[in-house]
Amino acid sequence: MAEIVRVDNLSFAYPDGQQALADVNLRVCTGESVGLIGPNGAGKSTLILHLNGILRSNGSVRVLGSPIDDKNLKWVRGKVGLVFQNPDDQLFSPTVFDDVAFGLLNNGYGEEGVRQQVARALDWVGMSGYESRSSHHLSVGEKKRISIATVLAMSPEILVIDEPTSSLDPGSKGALTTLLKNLPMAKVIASHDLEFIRALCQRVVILDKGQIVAEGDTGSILADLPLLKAHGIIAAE
Amino acid sequence: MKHSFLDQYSDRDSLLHRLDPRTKIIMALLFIVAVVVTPSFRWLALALYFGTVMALIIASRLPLLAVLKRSLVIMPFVLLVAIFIPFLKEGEVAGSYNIWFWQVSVTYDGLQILWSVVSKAWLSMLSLIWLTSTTKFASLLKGMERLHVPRVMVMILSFMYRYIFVLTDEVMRMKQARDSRNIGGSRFWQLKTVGNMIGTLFIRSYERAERVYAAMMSRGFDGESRTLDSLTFRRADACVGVSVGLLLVLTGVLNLLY
Repeated sequence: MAEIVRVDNLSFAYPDGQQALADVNLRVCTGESVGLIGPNGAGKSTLILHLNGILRSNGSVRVLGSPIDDKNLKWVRGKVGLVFQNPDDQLFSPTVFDDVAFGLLNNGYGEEGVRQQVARALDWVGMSGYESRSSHHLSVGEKKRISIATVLAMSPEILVIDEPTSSLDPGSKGALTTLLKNLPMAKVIASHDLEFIRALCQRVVILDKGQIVAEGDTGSILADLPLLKAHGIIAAE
Repeated sequence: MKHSFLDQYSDRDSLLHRLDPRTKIIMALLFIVAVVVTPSFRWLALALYFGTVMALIIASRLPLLAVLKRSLVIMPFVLLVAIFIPFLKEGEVAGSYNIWFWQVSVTYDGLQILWSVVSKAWLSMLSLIWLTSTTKFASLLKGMERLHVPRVMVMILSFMYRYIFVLTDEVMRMKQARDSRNIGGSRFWQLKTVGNMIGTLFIRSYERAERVYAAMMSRGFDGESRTLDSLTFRRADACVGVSVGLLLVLTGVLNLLY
């Protein structure tokens, strides 16, 4: 299978000196869904921000074989679709249409192409007819769906989602699970929600204190209770 | 939480609601220019302008009382600036008072100017309220963009529209959290809490701005804002635009003759 994203020996420290990632290696291939779990402050979000070049440290992230550099940033961001945790950060335009069209316009689509892609993306997440609504007046579940549509519109090769289930009610969570299951592209899902990870991911990576401490298929990792307890992923009694 | 006080009533339907936002922006601007350049003491002209804006408001089926109420919001600011005019203008004295050592006098001319300043401000306000109550904020932004208002300004306004409610909600939650824990305390202590809240809000907004910017970059933003053009002038635009324009010109001419 073709590698979509490959991370080699990635280390990153924030300007204040705090080491966020140390020697992280990760591969994601076509059609694969990888769960990224770990306690608060483990570096999940920092790792995610590296996947499309928002944060860059030492050129050790490759997308479809090419290392991320200044020249291919735009291309990389079209291929790696990043969905942020808080939809209020992801949706910054006055209307839903403007938000979904934003990435397309920046990637030079013409008017006809933009309208088609926006309609397709909204249809995909089940939100057709919301084009002229203002995102402020939507429910959290609806906002999450639109957030995903903003990225889907750009036809990415891989979807990277930070905490998709945070503050969702069980009903919306179920609907989101079905939605993501039906999307064919590769996915990286960072979450604390093990039930959700189990439903969606074949492979799981545990990140703790900036390091990958375990990696394997979902069934065996999530069955290893002592491991999960040791890294604060399930409660230790 | 639901808020819509910025462009309340803009989702109603009338001929004027359906006009191109550019037509309405230009109409409102022309109206304000016409009002502002009217010399003082020309009460007939101002009355005609008042009639024009009232006609627009009624034709747009806006609730009259709510519009009038909202238009008063600006008054304290206008009065604050204009209140000294009657004391400074020279002319026939209407009354004079002794305040400590100073003798101050109010003139008739000054009073007239005060009233014309206040009514001009009020008329301008009414026309802007008409504009924002008949146009959705998003189309207002589109219109400005097509009228070549600098992109940065349009973007600032668009972010303001998107996040003002998010921030209002944040303030509300912070206030609830404070009130849940705040039992009494001295005035000074309470002021200090408010200060801390403002500081926290500033830092949170700053951090949010960074996250929003990261989300923009993730979708290929490179500092240039791009939008689709989807506005078209129709016949109604020409009709309404021309008639309001003519009315303004006519009032101006009448004003010169009279």
